Amino acid sequence: MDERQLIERVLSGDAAAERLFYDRHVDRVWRLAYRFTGESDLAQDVVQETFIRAFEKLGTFRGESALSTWVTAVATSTALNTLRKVKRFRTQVPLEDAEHLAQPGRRAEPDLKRRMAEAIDRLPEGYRTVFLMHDVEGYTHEEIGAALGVQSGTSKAQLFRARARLREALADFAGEWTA
Amino acid sequence: MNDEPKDEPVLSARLMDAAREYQDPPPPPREEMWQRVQQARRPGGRAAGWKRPQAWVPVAIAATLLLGIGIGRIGTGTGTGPKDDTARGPDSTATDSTRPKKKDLFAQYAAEQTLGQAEVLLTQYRSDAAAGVSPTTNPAEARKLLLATRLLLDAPSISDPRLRRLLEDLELVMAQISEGSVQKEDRAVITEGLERRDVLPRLRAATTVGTGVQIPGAI
Repeated sequence: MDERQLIERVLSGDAAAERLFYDRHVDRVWRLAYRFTGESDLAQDVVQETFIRAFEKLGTFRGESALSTWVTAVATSTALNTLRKVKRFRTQVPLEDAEHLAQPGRRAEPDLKRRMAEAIDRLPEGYRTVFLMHDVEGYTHEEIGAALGVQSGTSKAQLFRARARLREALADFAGEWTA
Repeated sequence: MNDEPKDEPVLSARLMDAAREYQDPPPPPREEMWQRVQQARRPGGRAAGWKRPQAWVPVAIAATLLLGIGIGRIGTGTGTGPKDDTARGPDSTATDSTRPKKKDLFAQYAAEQTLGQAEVLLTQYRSDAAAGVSPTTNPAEARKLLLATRLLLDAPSISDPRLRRLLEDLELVMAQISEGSVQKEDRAVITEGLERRDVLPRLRAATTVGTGVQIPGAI
């Protein structure tokens, strides 16, 4: 069944088509949701909300992009809104405090994985979003632009700045960067 | 799929490996999530969007409900004036049955704000419990929501049985959280109760995105 037929059948209330729609997109949505939230419960909330919204709004899909891009846009929006909501209650470390991560010798044997996670967590939302989508999940700047509602050039600029921030935060791994 | 510009600094393979391990997704619980989607889309169910609650809302809720309750008491004949049913003609009765009353809209708005705030707090509470960290939710906020929930339960215009059941469950869980216990066992009891009663999905099904007004019968 091609995309157009699938959409028509979903819109007509075909339960099997709804399940097929879900199966085609759930892995991608789940990966994004989990990358953004890092928690199974929250990621499941995001997936649930994404598909509910997608089914509700599928009639507004105009076919100007791939359906997967449209679903990704819904998922990204849902995930970011979820994170903003949750972060309201969390003690946030000011971005300026990330500087301590760049001090060499602060930890005798820095754990690269943990240091990377801390550095990513401290990125501004836009930088973090683009970095995770592009460098970690492999989306193109065009796909990211479509998902976030920005120009692909903006996505590129955000990625450049994200990498610069990470480079600062992981300065004692400077040799690990390549130009 | 990537479109790497040539002059862009990139991460080494070792650092990329570390980045890929960042919040690396496990296999998706497909069936469980599909069940949740279906449950939320059942007739009478409706998904909710995340809402950013406002700090003044609890005060507004209390004031709104006081007004709503006051209107409700007058409307149900506790005042000294003639009872509505005997004072109205057939036409006015028909109009009232089809038109939402102001006190209903007040209460619905107050309910939506309370449920939205409760959803935020409970999402965070559950998240903290799952992460095994101390609760970052504020017991004082839970107490405000407990008060708002009880006011809603007392409001004559909150008559939808599904909404009342949800508010009763919310009253219980807010009472527990407002105790402020950080004991693991106490928190486990609360989160188990949340899951068992499906409180969060029901909260999300109870509000709508951006309308600011609860859809009657949507819970």
